[in-house]
Amino acid sequence: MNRLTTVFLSLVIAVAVIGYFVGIGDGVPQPDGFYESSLVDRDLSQAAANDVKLIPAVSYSEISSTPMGPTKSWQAKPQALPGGDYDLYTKIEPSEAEKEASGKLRASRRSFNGAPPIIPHPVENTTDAACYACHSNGVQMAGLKASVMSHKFLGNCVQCHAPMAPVPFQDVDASVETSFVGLPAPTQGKRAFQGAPPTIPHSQWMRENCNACHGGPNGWAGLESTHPWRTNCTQCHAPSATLDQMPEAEIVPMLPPLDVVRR
Amino acid sequence: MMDSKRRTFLKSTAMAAASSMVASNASLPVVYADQGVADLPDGDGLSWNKAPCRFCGTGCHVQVGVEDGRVVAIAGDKAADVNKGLLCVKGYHVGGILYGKDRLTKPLLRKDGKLTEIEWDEAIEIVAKRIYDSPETFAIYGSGQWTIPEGYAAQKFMKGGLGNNHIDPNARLCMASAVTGFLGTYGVDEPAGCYDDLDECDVVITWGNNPAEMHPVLFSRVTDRRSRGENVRLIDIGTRRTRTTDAANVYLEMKPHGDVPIALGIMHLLIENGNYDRSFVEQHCNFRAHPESGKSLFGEAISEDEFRKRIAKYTPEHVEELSGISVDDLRMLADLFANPDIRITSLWCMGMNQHTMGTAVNTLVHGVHLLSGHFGKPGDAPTSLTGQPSACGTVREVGTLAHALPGGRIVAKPEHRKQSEEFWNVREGSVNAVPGYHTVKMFDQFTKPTSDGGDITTMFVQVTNPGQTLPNLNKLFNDKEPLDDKFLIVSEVYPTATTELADLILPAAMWVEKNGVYGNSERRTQQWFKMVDPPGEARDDTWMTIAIAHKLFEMGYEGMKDKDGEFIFAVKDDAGKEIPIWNFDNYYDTNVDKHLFEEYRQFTTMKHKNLAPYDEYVKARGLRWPVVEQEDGSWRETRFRFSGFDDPFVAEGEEFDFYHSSSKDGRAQIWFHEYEPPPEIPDDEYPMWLCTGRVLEHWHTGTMTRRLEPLNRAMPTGYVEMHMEDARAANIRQGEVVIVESRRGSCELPVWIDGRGRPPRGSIFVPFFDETKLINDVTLDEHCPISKQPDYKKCAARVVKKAAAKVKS
Amino acid sequence: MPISGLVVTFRSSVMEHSDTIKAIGDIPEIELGDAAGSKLAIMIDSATKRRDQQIWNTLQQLPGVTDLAVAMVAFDGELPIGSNPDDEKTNGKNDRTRDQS
Repeated sequence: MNRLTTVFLSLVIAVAVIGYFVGIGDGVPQPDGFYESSLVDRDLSQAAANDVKLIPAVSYSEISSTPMGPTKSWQAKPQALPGGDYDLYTKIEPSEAEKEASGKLRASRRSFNGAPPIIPHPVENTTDAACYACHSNGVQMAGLKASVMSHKFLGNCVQCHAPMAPVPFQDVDASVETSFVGLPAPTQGKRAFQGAPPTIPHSQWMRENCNACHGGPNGWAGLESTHPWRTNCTQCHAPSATLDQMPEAEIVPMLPPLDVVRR
Repeated sequence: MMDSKRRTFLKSTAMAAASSMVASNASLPVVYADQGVADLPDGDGLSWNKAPCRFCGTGCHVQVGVEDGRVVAIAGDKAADVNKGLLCVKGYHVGGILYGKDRLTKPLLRKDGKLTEIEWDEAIEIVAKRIYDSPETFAIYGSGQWTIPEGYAAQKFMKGGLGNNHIDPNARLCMASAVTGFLGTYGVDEPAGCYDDLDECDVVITWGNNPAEMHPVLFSRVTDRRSRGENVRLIDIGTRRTRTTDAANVYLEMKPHGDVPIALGIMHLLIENGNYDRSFVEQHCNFRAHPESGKSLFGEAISEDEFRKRIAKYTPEHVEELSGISVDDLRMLADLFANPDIRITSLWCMGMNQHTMGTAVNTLVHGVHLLSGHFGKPGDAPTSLTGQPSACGTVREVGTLAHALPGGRIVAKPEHRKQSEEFWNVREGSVNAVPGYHTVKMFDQFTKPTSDGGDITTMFVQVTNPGQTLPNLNKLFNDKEPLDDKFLIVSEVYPTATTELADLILPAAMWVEKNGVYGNSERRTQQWFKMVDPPGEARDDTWMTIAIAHKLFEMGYEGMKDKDGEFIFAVKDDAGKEIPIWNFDNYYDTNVDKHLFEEYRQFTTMKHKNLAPYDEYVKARGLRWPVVEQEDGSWRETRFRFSGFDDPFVAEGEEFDFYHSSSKDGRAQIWFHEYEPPPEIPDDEYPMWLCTGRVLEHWHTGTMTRRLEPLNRAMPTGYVEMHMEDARAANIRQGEVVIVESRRGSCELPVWIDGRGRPPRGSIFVPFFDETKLINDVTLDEHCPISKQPDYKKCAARVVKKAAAKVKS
Repeated sequence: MPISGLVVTFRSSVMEHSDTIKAIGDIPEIELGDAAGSKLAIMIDSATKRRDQQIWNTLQQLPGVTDLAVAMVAFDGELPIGSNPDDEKTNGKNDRTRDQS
């Protein structure tokens, strides 16, 4: 396994180095390596097709009709999952400073509390499946951490989340002059008495998955729960109407659902 | 210079952030936004109120969070049927559009080439005087972003007060072909279906349309059904790959103008295979074509045999040759339409409308749905989408077009003029019978020297930016500059390409800085209230129109008096005393919007586009017309027009009734049109197809969205999308700035090879949002002969390396 | 005038790369910060975005450096007059600008 990775990485590096020199040669197109990446190398893709351990990539539109699960070879022999280095019972007590830093970092990615966070990296030719690969359960790699989706899966991720500039335009000055100041997030929930569980100081709309920020190995530094082994959050923490900030969704009288006769 | 204290603070924060990442498992890189504002909102006293989004024609409802007189947050409105609590990147950040640092806050007059601040009284007087001196050479260029009361006030002022029909909107550039397509087919404008079709359909066909970026909320309404396990097939017919293509099951790449033969080919196959909906066609349809004498909106009746005879030549092989779509793919499309057990919704927007055969291709796609019977059942709908928030409400319904009167009336018909004069209580004969100039003609006449017959001398532009959006700008806009006797008045919120040539700039209030009513793509009329004050001396557009009208009234201009000698916009209080709404201080003493809306409502019944009273819209998240009063006094909206099960105006017992049929027999028209090639085709000199359009992050000319940081950062510049092979052949690199030029003009743009959209070899795409890179200097002004809508989607251009251009010149 | 906080990651422990660290410290715009394991925190205060980019490129090519991560960037503040003559901005003001005031 390790050797394969090394071979693969050196291949990538080799391609990158060649790409670099090719790239600085005058007048040669630099198409981001999208087509010229080693990933679409014919030998590799053939090897991939023959390797039962690999799952073929499908387009977003085919996801719903493609069975996805353990590969044949995986199903064939039961094996233990590699144990994570996350210990549920490690004592977590974020300091006030850590909480504040965490809140600041969070705020830096939104125009106002309630706005969908921006994507802090460029997005190119990417489908929802690509977003989902890292952001569904959270991926940690090379010291970086991909945030977990706090809401159920919705298609067309970039509909709501604005990315960074596309790669060819990253040097363009995109600053704007505005006096808009967004609503800040409330800092903490209220406790009925000392020792009581605090209320949830934010709306739960689009934030149904508490663990996305507050728990598990992918929680936000400074926002983690002190008791991640407890899973039914709203058992003890009540939503707060005053801190929810969101408008009330009073029901507007609408027509009854259509009574459609299918021929 | 940045002050040193803040710098020190930033430095220590930067170091702390880096150190914290060294110490712990840290998160992804971020861009830190330091706001540096003392008086921060804190959530105390936050209040929410509903409004439709300011941007596109989808008509999402947002909740606007206001604190201390400023908009501080936006949320999707969970009670809104259109968007069900979701929004798109533009919608979530719509609150920021009010707060760009360069908002216009004072009237500005150009004196000796320099803009000088003046007072409102002087500004209104200047405008009134120019109109008084030459009322017939005055024109208003309006907008599908006008609220309904704004458009209605301008309409009444021009056609009822001045007897001048030179009023046309930017929607002429945007959905005029959709209007003529609906009129030609059903005898009355606007879609029969609504967004509920998207929840019911089995197949969505996008005709030259990219809703994943342009109508994302509607698009994800379909793709989210898939995520829930429902089976929806998406077929994308287009001239380039887009984000919509990414989600499509089938992508059919056509040549520019290929949509016309594709529609003809589908109809040909349905007839040849005998699997069209015979009973629907026999009961509800007629056939139609242009007479030999020339093209017209309603054409002439032809027999079914004649239709069969004419369409026979559009065999799959011939269609393949014209459109580039293979015989097999065309048969696949025809088989879909031949299947009565599935529900098919067609979506289109600018691809079919900005087209020299715009009216034709619109009627043809309606024809495909009618011939196959895929019409009028939930999920079976030909639906045209609009790009502006009130293109439907203000332009199509209020009729702010050069030939129209409110409520589907036209100036050419004496009885329509008479009705309008009665509703307006103006003297008989006040309304002029001759249609005014349509947009292209209007600007042509404005930018032509008066001595050469340019008979528009004063133009008032409200809520739009023609200096960026008109086609062929060098011909239609830029050459205004040296003409001293021409006077351009622009009501705007920010400096734009249009204000650059303006002689008088009037600072306008926008969106929730004023009351308003919009009408979206699915016939939904949406109301909102003013929530915050406009900055400085910015004022409502409706007020500007009324103030100008009242100044003329004071000057003794006869047209500004009604039959009883009163001011045509007079509003009285309960005691019968006139409220001086022409003074801005008194403008909000009453709800002027409500008065105008109630007056306008009288016009809406003739074409069965009945609206409810203003107060009903206050309670609802919009209502889809026709809205009719029920026996219990409640108001009921209509989702499916012409369908017996839902439309209250369909005769009892009828399954379908096209009650405004142009053939007066309750039937819709299935049109035949001959294919015509595009007006300009690439050749040796200009070898590339140029298509223009929009991107997700920016709305139209970007005057609003380019002032929103998250959006501008995500898409900081206009660009030209190019195929890699074309770039390689021309020795062009990723990001290199090149010159895109045509016979009409040129524009410098950075290249994005295989960018977000991917054009095929031999074609390029340029978005038009960037005011520093005006691609409309390059486009052409050829337009559809019926709708007068220009074709921005295809012309011949070439891409030249900057270095090469220097050597040449 | 960008100010940024970066984290430099070395192939192995920071202790083993004193030459590289000295080279980093020699760049006048850089302030060295905490180090732990193979990571070193630094702060850059550069005059222009272009310079910032140059420093970034230099750092990446130093021996032993495997990764460079951004912890924070602040971009605001206007440029001192004449400081950035070679910066070819792609969204610069329109050629057709006329006096606005």
